[in-house]
Amino acid sequence: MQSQAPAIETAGLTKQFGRHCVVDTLNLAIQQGTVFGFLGPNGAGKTTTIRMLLGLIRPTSGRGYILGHDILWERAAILAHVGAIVESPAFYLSLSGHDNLRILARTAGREDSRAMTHVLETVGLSERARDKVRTYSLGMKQRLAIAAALLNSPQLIFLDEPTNGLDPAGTVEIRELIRQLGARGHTIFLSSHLLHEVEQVCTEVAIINHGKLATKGRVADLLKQEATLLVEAEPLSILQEVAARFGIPIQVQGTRSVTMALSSERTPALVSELTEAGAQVYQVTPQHASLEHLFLELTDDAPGTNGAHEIRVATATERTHHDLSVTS
Amino acid sequence: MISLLRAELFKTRKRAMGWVLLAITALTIALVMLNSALQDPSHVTYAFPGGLLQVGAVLPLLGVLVLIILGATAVGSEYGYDTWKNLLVRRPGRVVFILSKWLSLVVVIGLGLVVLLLWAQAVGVVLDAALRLRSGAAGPQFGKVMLLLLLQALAPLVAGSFAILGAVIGRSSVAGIIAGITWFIADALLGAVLQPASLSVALHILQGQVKGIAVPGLFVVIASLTVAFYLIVPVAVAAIIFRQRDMLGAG
Repeated sequence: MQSQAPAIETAGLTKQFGRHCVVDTLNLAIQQGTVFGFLGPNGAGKTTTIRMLLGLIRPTSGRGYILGHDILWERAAILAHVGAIVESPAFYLSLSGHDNLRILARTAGREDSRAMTHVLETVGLSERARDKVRTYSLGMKQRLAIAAALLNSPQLIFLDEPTNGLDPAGTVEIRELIRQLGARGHTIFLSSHLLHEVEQVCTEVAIINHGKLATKGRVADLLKQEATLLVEAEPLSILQEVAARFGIPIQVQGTRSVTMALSSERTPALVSELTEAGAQVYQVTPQHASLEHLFLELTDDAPGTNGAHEIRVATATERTHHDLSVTS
Repeated sequence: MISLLRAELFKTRKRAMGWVLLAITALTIALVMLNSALQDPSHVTYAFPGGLLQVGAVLPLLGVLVLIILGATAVGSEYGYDTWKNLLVRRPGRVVFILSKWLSLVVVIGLGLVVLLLWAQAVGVVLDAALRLRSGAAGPQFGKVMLLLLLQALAPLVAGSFAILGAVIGRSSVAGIIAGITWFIADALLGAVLQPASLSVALHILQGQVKGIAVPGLFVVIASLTVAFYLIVPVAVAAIIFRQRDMLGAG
C-alpha cells in the first residue's frame, strides 16, 4: 500500500445506465485522515459513486484509485483496508448479530473472535450480540453495520447514509461514533443528505447533483465564501443604490432590510457610504453561513421544479435536530 | 475458498429450511420402504446393504426438488436480503462466490446422503425384524449400491446448479426455483426427443453399466460427456454472468 497516496482519487469517473448518466465525470481527491462529506439529494449519484469505488458496479468510463490502487484491477489490495456500509444495513435476519459478523469474517478469510468482540463493544452491541437481527431496532442494525465495516480494522471507511431512519438519539450516537473514528485516524467517506450532520463531523465536503460535482473544499472555506450580512437601513432605495455601487447582489427581506454577500473587510466602507448617502442604519448583522444554504443554492432544486426531487427544508421543530431532508 | 465455503455451510446449517427438507426426505424414505414391505413382504428385504438402496428411490424426484430449493435460496436469498453488497466488498473476485455456493451443494448432498443412508438402513433393520421380510434373491453388493447412489445424486446436483444459474439471472430465489424445475421438465422431454443430450438418459446408461447390463462403449462415452457438460456448464455460465453484473442493490 502507498502510504502517501490519496485515500480516494477519481478522474472522470462516469456511470451511465442506458442513456441516463448517473455519475458524470467525477473528479475527487481525498487525502488520508480526512472525514469527508459527500452531499447530494437522493438520486444525485452518491451511492452509485460508492458502489463504483467498491467494485460493486463497473464505471462506464474514467478511473478511480483507493489508497493508490486501481479500483478495477487491484481490488485485493484495496478491500483489505476498506470497510463499508452501502445504503441501508442488510443482514441475515434469522441469524444473530454475532453470527452475521462471523459470516462476514469468514467471507473475508479472517475469522477473529477477539476482533468481533471488540467491534461489537465499540458500537455498544455486546449485550444483544447473540439475539437474532430480526429483533433489532433500525438503530441497532445501523450499529451492527458499522461494526461489520470495522471488522477488518480498515484505514478507509465508507458510510452511506449511516443515520438514515434513526431517531434523534440514535443519530447523535452514530454521529459521535463517526467523530471518534475520525479522531482515531480513520479516513471516513460519509455520504449523506443530512447537511447538519456533514457540517458537524466533516472537515471536507463535496456536493454532487444530477451526477455532477457542484463544489468541493474544506467546510470552513466553503462557509466563508458564503458569509452574508443582514443590513437594516432606511430608505430602501438608498440601500439598493449603495449596494449597486458596491457591485453586490442583494435580496430584499422587508421594507428596510436586505441580505448581501460581503466580506467583513468591506463592511465599514459600506456603512460609511450608507451614512454619507443619508440612510439611517439600524443594524448590520453577519448571518451564520450554513451548508444548507450552499447546498440549496448549488443543487438549485426548488420544490417541484423538475419533478425529480423534492427538497424539504426542515421545519422549526426538525431544525432542533439540524437536518435537511431531501426526499425523492 | 475454504473459508468462503465454511461461511456458506454455516449459513446453510443455520437455515431451518434445510433441516425441514431433510426431515421430509427421511420421512418419505421411511414411508416408501414401509409401503413396499407391506405390499409384497415375500419379495422384499432391507438387510444390509439393501436398505441403503432405498435412498435411491427418492433422489430422482424429491432429491431434485430439495436441491433446487437449496441452490435457488443460496443465491437468491443474498439478493433478497441485499447481502451481496456486504459480501462482495470483502473479497476480490466474484467467481469464487458462485463456486462456493455450488460446492456447498456438493457438501450438502454428501452429508445428506450419509445421514439418509444411515436412516434408511436403520428403518430397514426395524422393518425386516418387525415384518419378518424375506427375499430369495441375493442382496446387492455394497460397492455397487454406493456407486448407483452416487450416480443418482448427480441429478439433484445438476438441478441445484440450474437453480443457481436461474437465481443469478433472475436475481431471486423464485427465479432459481423456476429455472431448476424448468430444466427438470425439459430434461425429461429431451430424453424422449434427443436422448444423448438428456442427463436422465445419460445417468440411466451409466447406472446400467454399473448393474452389469451390456452397454456399447460409445454410449458410455457420450453419457459421460453429457454428465460432465451438465456438471460444468450451468455453474460456469452462472459464474460468468455474476462476474459481469452490476450489483445495484435491492432498492
